[in-house]
Amino acid sequence: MARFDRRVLLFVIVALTVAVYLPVLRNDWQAGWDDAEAFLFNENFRGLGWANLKWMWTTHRMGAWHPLTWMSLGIDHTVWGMNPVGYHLTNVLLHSASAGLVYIIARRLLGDEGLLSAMVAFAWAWHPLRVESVAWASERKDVLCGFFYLAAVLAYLRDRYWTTLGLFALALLSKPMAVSLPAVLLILDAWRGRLWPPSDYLVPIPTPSGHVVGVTITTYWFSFRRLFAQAPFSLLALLSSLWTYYTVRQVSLMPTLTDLGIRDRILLSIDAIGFYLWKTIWPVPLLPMYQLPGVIYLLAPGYLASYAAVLGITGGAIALRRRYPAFLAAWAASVVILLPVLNLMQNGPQAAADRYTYLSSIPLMLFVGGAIQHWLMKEQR
Amino acid sequence: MWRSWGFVVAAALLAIEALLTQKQITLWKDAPALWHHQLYYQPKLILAWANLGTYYHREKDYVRAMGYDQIALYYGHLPGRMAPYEYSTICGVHYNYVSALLTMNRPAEASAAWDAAVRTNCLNILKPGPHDLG
Repeated sequence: MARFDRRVLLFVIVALTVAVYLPVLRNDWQAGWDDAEAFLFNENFRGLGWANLKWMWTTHRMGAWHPLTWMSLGIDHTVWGMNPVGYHLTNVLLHSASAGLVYIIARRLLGDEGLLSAMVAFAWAWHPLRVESVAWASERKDVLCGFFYLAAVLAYLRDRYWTTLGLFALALLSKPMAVSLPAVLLILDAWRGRLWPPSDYLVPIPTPSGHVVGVTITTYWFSFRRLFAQAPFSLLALLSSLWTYYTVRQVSLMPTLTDLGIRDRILLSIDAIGFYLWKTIWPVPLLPMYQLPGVIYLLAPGYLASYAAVLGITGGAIALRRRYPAFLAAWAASVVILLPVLNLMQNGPQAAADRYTYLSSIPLMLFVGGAIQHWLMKEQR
Repeated sequence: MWRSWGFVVAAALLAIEALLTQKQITLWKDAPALWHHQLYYQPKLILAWANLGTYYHREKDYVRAMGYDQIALYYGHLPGRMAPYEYSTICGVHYNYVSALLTMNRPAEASAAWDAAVRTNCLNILKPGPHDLG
């Protein structure tokens, strides 16, 4: 596809995504929930003066520390005042821009002419699971972090190391959930064969006739250079994780190990992964709150089905890793992105939340796109 | 042939996705739309009743707010019903309920409601200001 056509397609993806989400602009604040605490009863974010900026960079109101998100909301207030339309519009624009980034990333990874990548971008951006992140003004952190996270992945695919690091920092300042990026980049490297790059050696071997023939031997050595390049990313992720743990503990949103034991946390996490997978396939109904039950029966049929699905897919991905390495890479990336918000680090009363799939669903959608492409190419042959 | 049909099916699926998304957006229109949707599927969820109550307290529609508060308190105080993390939610509802009665100049009922909050051991977490129940 010509470069011009690709740009047109990119524009179409962004424009159509804006169109799909335009009804969000009719929505009000969620005044019975976080929007009240974040906006309606919060004077501090209203403006970009010195006092506002100081507050934005030091507060951990409502749990996590995300100064860049507060700054973006401060800009919204400067432009729109307390009219929710402007806040919703910014969310829609950020999400639509992320849809464009997913398209560009898909084209890089799938190497298709563009149409299949566009389908992947649409499937991700228009999925009902995205609504919570886009339509809820309080989830600005999700769409802002998502945008920088995807931009960082794209910069990495273009081998722009320092740009990737900068964008990663911006993602972390938008929402600490971005801590998964270093692991995702390592998975990308492994999938692209860059963690074990091939090195060819010409070995001279004398023959009985007195001649010497050269035999090329390909070896695969683990690339410590690639691993060390991840160190600054991992350091930022570690600092962000520790700081988030500290700030969230301050507002007592995390149950203790006595309240929720390790075994229960592991099983609930596996169940949550299965739940997200199912909701991606069948997104009806979607609720604002999937609350942990007071008494958890971890051997109930619903839980057992989740365990079977998750363990089955994990086993299948490992068994087929040589034939279909993309399967294991996509599954691993998806789970790694979810890790900070799984029940292992239970934070709040929810067993799961639609917004947690904002980034974790992308690797799976890319994998489905790749599988379709693989099938189409086989058909052509 | 297969390729063309494949793209037709994919386009149809994307159209369904977009329609479901637009329907989901309307559920996020405001607090009543969102929490009534939740209650349709989980009618005993304390948080949903409590959040509806909070919304109407903020709208200063105290009669309606107290109606939702009473349902939240009813479910919250059923034996074995309240999960540990719902404790602060229930205390927030108690607080809003007492505040509404005082605003409506019904001190005797407010005093009785306050006693109920004290019996629920809410004194250690109650603080001034509208409670965020999320």
